[in-house]
Amino acid sequence: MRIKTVLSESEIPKQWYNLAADLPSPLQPPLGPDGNPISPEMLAPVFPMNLIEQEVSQERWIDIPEGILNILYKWRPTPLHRAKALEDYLGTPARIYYKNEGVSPPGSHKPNTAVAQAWYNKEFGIKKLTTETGAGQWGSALAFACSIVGLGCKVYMVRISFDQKPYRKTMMQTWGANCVASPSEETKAGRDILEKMPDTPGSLGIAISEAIEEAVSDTKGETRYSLGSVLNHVLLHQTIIGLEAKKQLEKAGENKVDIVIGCAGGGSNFAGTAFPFVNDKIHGEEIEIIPVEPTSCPTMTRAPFAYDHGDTAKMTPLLPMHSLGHDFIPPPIHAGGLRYHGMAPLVSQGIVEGLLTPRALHQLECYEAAITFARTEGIICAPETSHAIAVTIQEAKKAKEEGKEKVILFNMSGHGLMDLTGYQSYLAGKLQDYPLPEEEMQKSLKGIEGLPKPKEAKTGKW
Amino acid sequence: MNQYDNERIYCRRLGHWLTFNYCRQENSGLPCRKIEDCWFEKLPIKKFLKENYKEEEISYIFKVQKPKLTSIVELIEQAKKRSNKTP
Repeated sequence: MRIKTVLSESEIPKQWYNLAADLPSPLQPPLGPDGNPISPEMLAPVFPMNLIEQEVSQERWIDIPEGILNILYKWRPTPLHRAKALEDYLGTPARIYYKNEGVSPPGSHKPNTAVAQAWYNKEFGIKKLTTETGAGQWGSALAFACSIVGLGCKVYMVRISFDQKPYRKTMMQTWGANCVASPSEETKAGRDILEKMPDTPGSLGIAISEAIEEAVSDTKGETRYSLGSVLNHVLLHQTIIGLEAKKQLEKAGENKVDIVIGCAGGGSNFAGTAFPFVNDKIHGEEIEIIPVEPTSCPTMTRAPFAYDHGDTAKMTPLLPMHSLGHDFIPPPIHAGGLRYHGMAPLVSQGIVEGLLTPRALHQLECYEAAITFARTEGIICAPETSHAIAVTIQEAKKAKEEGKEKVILFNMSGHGLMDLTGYQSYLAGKLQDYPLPEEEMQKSLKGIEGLPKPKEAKTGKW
Repeated sequence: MNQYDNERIYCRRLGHWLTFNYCRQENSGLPCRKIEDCWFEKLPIKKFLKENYKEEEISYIFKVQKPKLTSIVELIEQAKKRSNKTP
């Protein structure tokens, strides 16, 4: 029985896959604050032109430079595991596979884009990257990448996270990054906030402002900003996960995948795993592709409550560009994109098209799945990854009920060794699920009933 | 106002556990824009907001978010203005 399927360095994919080239309903160009399309020059103060070109590219395949591959070889290709112990435990006829992205030095999928971004910035002549981070998964990935590539790195870490996640901070410092608590005294944005609220615990919004200000105000033009999710080029760099998985599944003797599963926060790890399979689905394969999120704070499976306040705020999901007047109806993709705001536009459009079928789960089921996974496969996964494992277990049980030999692939996007608080609470019996307040949900949906529905750009094929 | 301050939740944006105390102040002293999405299952959050915040504050908290690239361009413009003002 083959448990791990590995690829040699020579077998690593040499190109990234760009779903934007194949989407049946193409993305509209992003609009600036004035309602006009954003030009590359508008982004140039924070991103190098080589990455901006990738952000707007419609090319299906983009070559991975040798310099990037040489760094990725440190941990890539990542192994594809057959979760045989989990299968046996569940007694399922399904064959379960997972990509183990936890083997990267910082322990997650994030370095796939961090390394690429650092490398392109260096090529462009940039000397330092800035970014923001919460718990530090992204910050530590960028710190690692900058260290290997040879760039300076400044991470603005939200104050509350800075205080609560000291080990991530130490990881960043070990890789040579300058990690400061945000708000800081180092930017005008930070100083202004501290003057008004000296004890503020900070926020991602403030940290982003600081990171961008540092890049923009470098008079030598040697500093740029880096983002770890949502943007097209970030998703592009992550597709190496799914591309490797396809080769490995073939090597493992699987001709067809039935279900692909990934957890989706900003969308990058899900997209990285799923997009190469979305391509197959577009071209006729029957694959169920499932992005998973928690029932608490969903972005894909339920309209955000913010829409309830549409009237009060004088804008609705359909009228986000209020500066253009209330008669302005945004292009369809923006309606779709906003519906799933916080989610990558490419993933949003995949949902609108019906290519992706998002699912939301309660936290207890996710932690239960994570514990089962740890006790069968041995890996303690990151909290987000537990969502993908929980749906995998649901689908494996369904296959058992149906007596079908399905092939299931999911992305083990990172280990959870730095994030054990949730496990601690679960094991102490302190986590609770809450029944969905259906009445509340219905009331909320009624609130947006009267609003005009977005005109969705979709082919209706899926 | 502070009756729920010690309730805990996993914050999807920051990636770790924190208390309601943070959620109700995250947005320059006002609640995080995701407060209803995150807490609707656990607390009477609508009632809490109605009782503790003015209508214009609620409008501000829940203004519909712009796409990421649009907000980055806005932040670049704001940063340029701040840099120009700095002596």
